Amino acid sequence: MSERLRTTIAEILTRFRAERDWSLRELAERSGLSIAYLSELERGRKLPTLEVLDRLAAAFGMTTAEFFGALAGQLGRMEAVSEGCDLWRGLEAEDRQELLRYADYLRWRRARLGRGSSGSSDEA
Amino acid sequence: MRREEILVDTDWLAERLLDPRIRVVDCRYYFDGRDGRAEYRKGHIPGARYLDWTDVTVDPNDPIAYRLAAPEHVARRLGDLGIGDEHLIVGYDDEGGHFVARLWLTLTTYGCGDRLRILDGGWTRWVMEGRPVSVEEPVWPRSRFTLPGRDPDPALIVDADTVHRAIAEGTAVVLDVRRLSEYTGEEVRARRGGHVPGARHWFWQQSLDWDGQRTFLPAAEILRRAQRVGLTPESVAITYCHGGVRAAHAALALRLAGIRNVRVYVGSWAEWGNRDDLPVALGLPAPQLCS
Repeated sequence: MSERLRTTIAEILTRFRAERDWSLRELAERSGLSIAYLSELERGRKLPTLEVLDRLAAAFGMTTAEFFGALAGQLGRMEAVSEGCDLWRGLEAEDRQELLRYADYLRWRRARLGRGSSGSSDEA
Repeated sequence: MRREEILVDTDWLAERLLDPRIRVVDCRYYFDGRDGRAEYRKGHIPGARYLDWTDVTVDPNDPIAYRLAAPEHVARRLGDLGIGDEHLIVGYDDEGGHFVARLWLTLTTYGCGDRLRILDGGWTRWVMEGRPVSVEEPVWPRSRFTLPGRDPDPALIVDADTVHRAIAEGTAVVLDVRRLSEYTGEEVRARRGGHVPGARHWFWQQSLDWDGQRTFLPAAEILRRAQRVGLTPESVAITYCHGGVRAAHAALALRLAGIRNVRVYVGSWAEWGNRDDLPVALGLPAPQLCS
């Protein structure tokens, strides 16, 4: 779990910083955290404390709740992906082909019933 | 604080370069992208090793920027460098002792400031005087350095709450020793720019002959400059900057000027500017509060 959490935090921090077009120094100054430490966080090498996450939320101009909400969302997506991977890994090559065919059939059926594409509800 | 308790001059050091009880450390450091260690490698005072304050006085694993490392960390790092209980440390840099002052703050906080001397004028004066320079990097055997104090000395270090109380109750003069642009809020290096309300502006380099050999000015001159912002030898003063390095230098200079009760707010603006519960003021100092 701790590895997935580290990776998720790393992804979210990198994304938030890129969206704001900030350098590591800028994030360090706005959070009062050290550049070296932030760099480790963005590489997923460290697991921050709640106090550190709270400082990061403030640095990004988010409430703690918003920040943790974004983190939880990202973690949820990662876990869904991870579940899919686990399922896939447990299958033989033939089973995988069958599963892909079945997925094609489901997409075809959904299109026919006029229920739109197979994309997630928050697409577009 | 008497000058000879902390400062040594270039003649003094030149006579003791071969003294095995002395460990000379090059503390040059730059915020402009230059690498202090690379400068050291290009040439340094013969027999000196490089000391990186961001590694010795800050714990690299601490998420909080600039926070003073625990005494165990400092002692271990000094021992690893080859500085032991039997040695007297002599530090220098090329900014009038700016970065050596951080080491002074650290050692004094943990109870052994008397183990350090600062080379007055440092590298600047050494080179201007045409003294010998070496590229040889000495190897010192690992040693054991003991720091007696575990708890920071409250006579030297204060926290944000103490500063907050001091300005509310008027019990201390708070001195902002950063660039004027940082004080006014024009240059923002935290979530909020500006200064501690009521803080007076006293730029740290005022204690030095900055355009000359970067030695400390005579005590009487430093005091005269401190008096311009209302300080007297009896004042209780608290210095702060951005990360607790310039503030250490200013505190040392004011102590040299005979102001005994000078403390350092180590958390400085990196903390204050990022804490939404603390008040901030913007703009130029009132005429009687600047120097």
